Amino acid sequence: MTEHKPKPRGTYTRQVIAGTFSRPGAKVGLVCITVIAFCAVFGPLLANSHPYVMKTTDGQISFPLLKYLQPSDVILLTLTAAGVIVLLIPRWPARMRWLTMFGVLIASIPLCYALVSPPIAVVGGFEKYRQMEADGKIDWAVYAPIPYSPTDRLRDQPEARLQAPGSKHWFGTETDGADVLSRMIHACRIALAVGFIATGIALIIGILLGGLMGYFSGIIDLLGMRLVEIFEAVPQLYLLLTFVAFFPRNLYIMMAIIGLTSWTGYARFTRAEFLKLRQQDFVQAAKACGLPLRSILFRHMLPNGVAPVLVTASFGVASAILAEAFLSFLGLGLVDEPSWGQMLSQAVGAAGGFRWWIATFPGMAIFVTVFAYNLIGESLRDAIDPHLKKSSQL
Amino acid sequence: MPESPLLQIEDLAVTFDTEAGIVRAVNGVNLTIYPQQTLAVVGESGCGKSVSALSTLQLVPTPPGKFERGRILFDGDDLLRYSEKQMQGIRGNHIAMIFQEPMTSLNPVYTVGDQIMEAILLHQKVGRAQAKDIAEQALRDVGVADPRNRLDVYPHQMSGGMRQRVMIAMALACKPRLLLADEPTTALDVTIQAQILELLRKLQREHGMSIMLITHDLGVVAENADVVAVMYAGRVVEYGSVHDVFANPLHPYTRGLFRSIPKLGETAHRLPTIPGNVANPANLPIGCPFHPRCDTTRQCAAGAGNDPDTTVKPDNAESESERVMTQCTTDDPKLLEVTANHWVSCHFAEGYDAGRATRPDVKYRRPIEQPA
Repeated sequence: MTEHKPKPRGTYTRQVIAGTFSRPGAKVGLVCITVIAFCAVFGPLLANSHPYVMKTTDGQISFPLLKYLQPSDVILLTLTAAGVIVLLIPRWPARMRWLTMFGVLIASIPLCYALVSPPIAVVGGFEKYRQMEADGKIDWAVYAPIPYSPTDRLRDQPEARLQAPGSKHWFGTETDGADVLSRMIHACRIALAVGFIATGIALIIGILLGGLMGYFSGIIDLLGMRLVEIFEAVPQLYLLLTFVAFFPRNLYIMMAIIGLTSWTGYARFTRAEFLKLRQQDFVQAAKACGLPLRSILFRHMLPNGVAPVLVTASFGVASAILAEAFLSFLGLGLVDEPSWGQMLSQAVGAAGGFRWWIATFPGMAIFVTVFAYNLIGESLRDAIDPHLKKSSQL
Repeated sequence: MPESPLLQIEDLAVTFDTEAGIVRAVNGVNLTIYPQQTLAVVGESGCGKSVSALSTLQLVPTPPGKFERGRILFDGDDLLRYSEKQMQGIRGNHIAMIFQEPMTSLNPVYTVGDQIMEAILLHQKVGRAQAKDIAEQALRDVGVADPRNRLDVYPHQMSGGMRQRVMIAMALACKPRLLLADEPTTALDVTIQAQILELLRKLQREHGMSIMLITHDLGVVAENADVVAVMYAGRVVEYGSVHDVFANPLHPYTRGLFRSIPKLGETAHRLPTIPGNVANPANLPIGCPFHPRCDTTRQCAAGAGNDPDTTVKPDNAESESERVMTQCTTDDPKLLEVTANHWVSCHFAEGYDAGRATRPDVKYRRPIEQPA
């Protein structure tokens, strides 16, 4: 018997995460995603027509930016702040962390709606500051780094339309005069949300059905696999096109459709893993202990078989972002919300003019995001499957 | 006062529907275990030992498995009629099982403490802190040093013997009345084997539980068992108290098993073996399932001038040996009680023709050895 003191070694999850992000590819990917996530959270503070602080000549100090924040902005900011605080507290059990985050989320929603009155029809109000400044009514004002909101069409400056990048508009302007950089920053939120929510829906359905198929096999497996084949035969993009043609544009319906048509891959992976795992001795041992099915499936089998599914999921996030960009490019995305794909579609004008800045910057954003997810996915795969370690070291 | 058995397996038959045909893994098994008794089930791989134990907990996957007939009475209630929900209350709580492979029987992603505590929290009405104390005590009971810290260790950080101890601690944490030990020492080296078996005996005395000990190691049987059931091709071929079976093995298969053990002080270059392979349970031979490998049948066949592998027509039977041999190849022998508390199924066994068809049932328990 060896009686050595057990070394405090990390859990498997921690080892995999450390293994993944020790690879340079994953590091690059993580930096890109972090930048995008930062823009998604702090977008309204980075690019906004409303000044942070403003003092008018009659001596009043006001905070227009805070006043005009949307409730969703405030919820996101509160959650991020809470997340940072929770992560900074050392040696807190994971369960407590999740509970705290969940509590903050629940508490912040009514709070935000109570404190922040969502201003409707801000559009058209942006010129007011420029007008006031021109009239000399503003004593001083502190603006955001990019002093244009995504819906600030610069109607008071007709010459601002389709400007090439310059000192005033770093990434140029669009057909209707909106600032490209501002719109790109605000579009980060949609890109991230589509990727995560659509993949999340697909993951939940795929793991649930795949797990049941793999565990029970037999007739359930047979029927489940036929269902998978039926869904694989549904062309995702045509379904999306049909849907947006008949129903009002809704981001959440788009996410749901992308999720509902892409779960089959996860179901196949989970099924294969569970078929392998159900023969394992520790599953038999768990059953012999009298554990209920829920515990056997999700506590004992899932953590042992979820790794390859998560690898596929990270590629799935990338493809969901592409799907949304594709739809928006075709003009079938959201109407007034900024989106990278929708911006791309303005790169070529009706008369055939090519605006390189509208093509390049949003295109780069899509490319970098998808590339980053793929880099992370590949590193994750290599960290989980040591056989592949030597083949690619990116 | 008549003592009632804890577990009675009556005429259990389990089949598996496979591509190779219907496999009769267990084909009419009868066993009886009394409280605080150790029943050893002996036999080659594939003779249905494990399936019998798994059936008791209803862990046989159905399909492809199917319970053809029989009853499994635990405390008088038929477990085969229990719903899945009722079985969950039995498993781990009243009947626990330890498996052959300690290296793979623990979930690699949870700490040892988590896994022991999960069963305790499930079956006993205790809080987490209390469950942790029970788990710690369970680890101490199975002889793990420094149990409090060991609770936070992952299985891969432990040796095989330690893991088997953890498995036993897990199985015994809820103080079951019956422990199914499926070759608990096969994967361990000999010194650890002895420790684990000693531990099982000690825990049996302390908790007063019964053990079904599945093994193919006759040494382990001699040391631990009260009652022995020898299985071949999905049925019990010999059944009796450990003394009767070891002193006077009646079935040719049992005798073959004993012959293939090396003896101290005897020079042998090759140990005697039982010729042939275990009968294919998908395609059992007609007559006695053991007859193609049976010494006695062979000798009779030689006496009758026949090859035992060729079918002999009964109307050709003339000599005594040929008559018996014909019986072997056509008539499947029942398990009969030939002497008191000793059952066998072999046409040749002494006193078989006068044997009584009773259910195998031995109350014998070996006297408790006082540790020196």
